[in-house]
Amino acid sequence: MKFDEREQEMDLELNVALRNFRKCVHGWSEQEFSKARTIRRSHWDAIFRTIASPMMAWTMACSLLVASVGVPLTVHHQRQIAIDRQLAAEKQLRQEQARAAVAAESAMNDDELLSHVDSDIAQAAPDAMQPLAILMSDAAPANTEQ
Amino acid sequence: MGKPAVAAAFPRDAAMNSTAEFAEVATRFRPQIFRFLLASLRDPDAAETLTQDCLLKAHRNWTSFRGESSVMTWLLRIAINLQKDHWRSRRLQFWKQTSNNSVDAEEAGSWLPSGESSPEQQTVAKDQVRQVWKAVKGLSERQRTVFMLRHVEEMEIHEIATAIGLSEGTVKAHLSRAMVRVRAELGGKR
Repeated sequence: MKFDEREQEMDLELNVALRNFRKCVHGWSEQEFSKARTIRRSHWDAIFRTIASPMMAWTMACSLLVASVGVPLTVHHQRQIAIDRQLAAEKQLRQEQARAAVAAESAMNDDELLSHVDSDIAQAAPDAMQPLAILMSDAAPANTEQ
Repeated sequence: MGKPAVAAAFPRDAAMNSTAEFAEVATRFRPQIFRFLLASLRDPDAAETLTQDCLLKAHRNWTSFRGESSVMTWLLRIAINLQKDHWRSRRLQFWKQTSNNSVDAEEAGSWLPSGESSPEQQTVAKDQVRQVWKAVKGLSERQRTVFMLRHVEEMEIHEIATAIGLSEGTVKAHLSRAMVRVRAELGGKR
């Protein structure tokens, strides 16, 4: 109460000034309030409000969900493809090696067969040539000894 | 100083929780919130923006309002907090070239309604108002808020204390300091 009483004791000039000030603010406010104006917002505020809008929030949530599922799946898929390629390459290499081994083996058999044939042909003599062949075989050591 | 119409109690009953009822409250108190913010900020655009924000915030929290104070006091409390945030963001943006729509003391003093009888009296009144604006400009944020609530919104000390969230003693101290400054600006001696 003392405070209010003390306030009431304020000099007349101050009271008048405060009353005029109040009138001024009220008049100014009424004038400004009746004016049509656009609400000013900062760029950051606008960006924040855009991000915070429900549609944007849902879009971002969906994108995040798709990314969180899709990225690991893609990475896994790529890795699987790489492993498959590597396995296929190894398999092909093994097949080629096996094929080469088979070819080498078959080549060796052919050589042996040909040498047998050669020796067989070389040793075989017609009946009419038998005496000459016997002579050749008898003479050969004598020539060698000479 | 009579009982202020602005800060009149607006008790909240159980029925006042729907959007339609809040719209009624917003329509009723919006001019007063705008006036308080305009007087504090001296920027009509900022005052309009903060008034919208205040009502938006109030609407969001309308269901949690328990009616411990009057609706006007509650709304003013929200407005004061928004005003604090506004000043804080303005201080943070000191480096930024922002468009400043605030009105200076000279210009603000020219809105005096022509209620005075003679041109001389009007001139004296305008001069007084300019001096009060100048003094208000030099007050701290809290002193200015208390001064505006007391001398523009004509609120009682206990209502101001509730709106600001301070004790009545602190409010009186802030008001005294503000009045000293206003008196000094007006050239009065006490």
